[in-house]
Amino acid sequence: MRSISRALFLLLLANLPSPGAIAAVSGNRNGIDTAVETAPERYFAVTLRTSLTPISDKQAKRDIPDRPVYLIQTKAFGKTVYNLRVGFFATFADAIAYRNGIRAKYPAASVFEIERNEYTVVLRSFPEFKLAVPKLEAKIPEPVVAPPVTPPPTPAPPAVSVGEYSPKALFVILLEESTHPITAVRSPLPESLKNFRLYSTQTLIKDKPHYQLKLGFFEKEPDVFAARRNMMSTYPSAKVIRISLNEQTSSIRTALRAPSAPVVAKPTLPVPTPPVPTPKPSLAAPSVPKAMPGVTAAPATSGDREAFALMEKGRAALASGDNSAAIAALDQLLRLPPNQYSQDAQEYIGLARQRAGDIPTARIEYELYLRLYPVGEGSDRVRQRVAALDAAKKPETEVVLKPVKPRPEVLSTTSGSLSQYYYHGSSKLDTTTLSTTANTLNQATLTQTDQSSLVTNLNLIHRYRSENYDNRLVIRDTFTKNFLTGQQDINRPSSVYYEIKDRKINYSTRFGRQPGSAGGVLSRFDGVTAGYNLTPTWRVNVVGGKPAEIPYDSDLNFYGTSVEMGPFADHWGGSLYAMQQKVDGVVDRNAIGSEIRFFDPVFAVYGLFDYDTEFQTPNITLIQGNWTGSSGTTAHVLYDKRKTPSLTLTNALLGETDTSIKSQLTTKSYEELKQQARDLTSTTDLISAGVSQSLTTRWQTGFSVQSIHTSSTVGTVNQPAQPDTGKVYTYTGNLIGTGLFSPRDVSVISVSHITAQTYDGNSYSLTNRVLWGANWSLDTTLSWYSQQDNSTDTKLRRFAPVLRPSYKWKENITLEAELGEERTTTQSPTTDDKTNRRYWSLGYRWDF
Amino acid sequence: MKNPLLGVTMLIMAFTCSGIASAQDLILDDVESAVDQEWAQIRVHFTMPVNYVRHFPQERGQQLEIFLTVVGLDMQNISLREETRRVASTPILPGAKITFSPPLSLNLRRDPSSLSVQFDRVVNYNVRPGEDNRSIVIYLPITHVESKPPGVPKE
Repeated sequence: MRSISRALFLLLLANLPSPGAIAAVSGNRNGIDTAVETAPERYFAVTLRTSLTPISDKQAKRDIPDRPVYLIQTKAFGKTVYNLRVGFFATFADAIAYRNGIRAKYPAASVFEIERNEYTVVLRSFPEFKLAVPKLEAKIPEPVVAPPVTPPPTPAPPAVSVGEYSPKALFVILLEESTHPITAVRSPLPESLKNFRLYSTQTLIKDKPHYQLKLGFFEKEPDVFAARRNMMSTYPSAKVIRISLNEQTSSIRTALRAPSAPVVAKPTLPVPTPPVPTPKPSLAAPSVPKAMPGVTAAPATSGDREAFALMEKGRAALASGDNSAAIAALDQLLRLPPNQYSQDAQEYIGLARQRAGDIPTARIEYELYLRLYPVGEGSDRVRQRVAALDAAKKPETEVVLKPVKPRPEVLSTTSGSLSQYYYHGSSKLDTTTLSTTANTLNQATLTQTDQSSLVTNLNLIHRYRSENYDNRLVIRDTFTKNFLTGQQDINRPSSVYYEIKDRKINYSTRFGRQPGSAGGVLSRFDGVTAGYNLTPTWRVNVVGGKPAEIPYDSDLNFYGTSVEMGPFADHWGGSLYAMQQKVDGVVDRNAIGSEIRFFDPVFAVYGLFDYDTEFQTPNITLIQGNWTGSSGTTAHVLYDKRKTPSLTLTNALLGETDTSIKSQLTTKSYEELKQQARDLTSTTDLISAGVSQSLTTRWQTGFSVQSIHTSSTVGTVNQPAQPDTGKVYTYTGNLIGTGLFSPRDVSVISVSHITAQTYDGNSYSLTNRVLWGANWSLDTTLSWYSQQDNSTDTKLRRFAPVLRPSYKWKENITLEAELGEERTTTQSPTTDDKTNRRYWSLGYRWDF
Repeated sequence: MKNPLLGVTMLIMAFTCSGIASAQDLILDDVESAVDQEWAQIRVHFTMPVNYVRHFPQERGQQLEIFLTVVGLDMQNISLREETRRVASTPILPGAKITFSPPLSLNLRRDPSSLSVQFDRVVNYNVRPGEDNRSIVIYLPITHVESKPPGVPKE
């Protein structure tokens, strides 16, 4: 608790305005060289752990007694993130070296450059760990005429956005174009843009290189235009463009760094000479230098095993002539933080592209190499390669690039997957019946192929966004081609909808087949939903349509409205809804309900209450919650009481051959049908609770208990009554571990005991998922279940082994297979059944 | 979709091609990824309410197993099947294959379902249930600041 309080205190202090940037000692201003003490410009710390739940610093303080260990909170996605850090390091290399030394104990440790605020505030608690201050020799050429005026700290402008390195963030600001390499920025970036990536690109226009300086990446147009306005004083010709995902991906290799903006804005446009002499800068308050430090490419750090493995893979592929594989591996390596293999990889990828015949890209790769590594043996070699390219170039193949028509500032993406699997299953049933009268055994065997089908799955999402609209077309469809006689082919479009959101007025609408389960809609439906944000915390929705896939010969439709609220007080939210569903013109379901939510990083609760005003009874009462403790402990609880199936008038059709409500109403009254629906609907109560605890970083254990009870039904002439199940209790213990069979596997061992009114059962399962190399994975599952029914003296035994290998053939194509068997033995005083079902599947998945 | 008519046309075609429905249902809805200054998140949306149970390993690994209960599944005539989504890699975040596996059903009771996340490389993460009861969120710290600052000599 003290640690948390201390962290909160530190956070409070960390949010205070920054102290003066430079602590200086007044020197002799009479033209004498003076030793000036100045604070280090950068501060580094090693983050040992991050968590969304409070964490303790006690163990770390015991482990690291010779350095300041402290907790500090940051915000991410509106949530508090707890960081456990150890400080302080004046250089990045020192911090990396220290991190490497403690990784055995803290595998998630990583180096962060911390704000000066954090350093100075934490230092108040650990003054003995102040970083060594370098002594700089500063020369004062002449006395200062007037004392300098340090501008008051200007609060940083509100953040326009944060850097978004996602496939969706493809807007950038083109700051500058030049025929010469751009080696310096005109001014430092504003504070609100300091986390964005500044990078350079190069194009060939009429065979002459042109260089661009860009800043990215932005997902939303308003953000990128706001950022451009922020940069217009420095780059008046800056414009917004959209780039390819490939450029975003490659930009890390040409990333540049520029310091954040000082508190004084530096005009870059020509400024008339002031009529009065400008005071000379003083040591106490150095002004912005006239020429900013040249931007430098993000340099290398020490390599790691991943980089080494990729380098080896790239080399091997290059040696074997597999240029595509070499490019893939080297490109992946070059996306890693710069390391000791980066330089060679940059040369090799140029070579691989050259051998692959992609000469223009090879040239760009070589030129990038020469910019990053201009001197040395490697650069001489690369220059020779470039010269060879020039010599081999044929004049007639020159490509003259014409001015490109500016593209509209929109984003259009298509993603998804297509998969096809063939499933085959065959079963064999041996039945042995004891004839008690004749005291003989009758044996029968039935063998059949029960499955032979090709299942095709399509998941397609097309998104088109403009400044004003966000459009989505979603298609999720499963087509099953059955090869067995008597079985029909099945096409099931589970989602086929078009959605449009207005990004300025904050309304959205979606029409087509879509999933339900919110706002009182209990199942998938064909129809329309629309919503409008009245305020950031209040939203109204309307919905209407027909439930999909209705097995009845009746016409169903519904409409409803809901109001969503929240978040309030940071944690609370919920909704109220009302909806009516009609079947053949009469009320099928008339519901009002409410959802309520409480959410914070430690504790989350969700509740749902659905009441049918037509039947005047609750349909669903649901409460679920999760708790996450500070030491690897989690707990969950669920209470779910609901009508089974959900109470509607159409429940009266269960078991009926005439499945038309309209037709039923010719022989029965509406009230009689309602009563019939009640008689065929049971109530299920489920209570479940469990807790999990991390034992070590490699092992976790868990225990849960569940009680479920389903009430009896009255039944009808055509639908027999269902008996009360009584309470069925299940007690389950889990042990989950990694490294059981191989370093990269995860194993789940589960043991359950089930006890009910008429039977007891035991269940055991072992699931192991293992990764082999870069492309293979194998899932193995062994399950065993036994049950003893005391009322009929029946024993059931079931054993099911399953193997599921998977091979990543290409980056976006995976081959998958499954091979399994299920053996079931049922023994009763008069019958002995043995069922053996074997099945397999084979297929592929293409992600695009 | 540059031409809205294309969307409408595809929609009509998809409906026209639809046939007989089965009782199998899809549970995975959209999978979204977003990046913030220090954290990225992968949000897995479900078409039905879910209750987060546990995940393993706790905060670091290449294979992440998330266990959850599909609320109300035992009371409805719905069968689930395995589903997979792929999250594309970015310069900062590794790609990930997300696979939903339905619960074992050797007996009358169902074990929790499993959401298996296989990252392209070992990562640190944090797993939380979403604010609604229809999503799970995986937080990934971004280590892009772990690059050498300007002026530091090459090692």
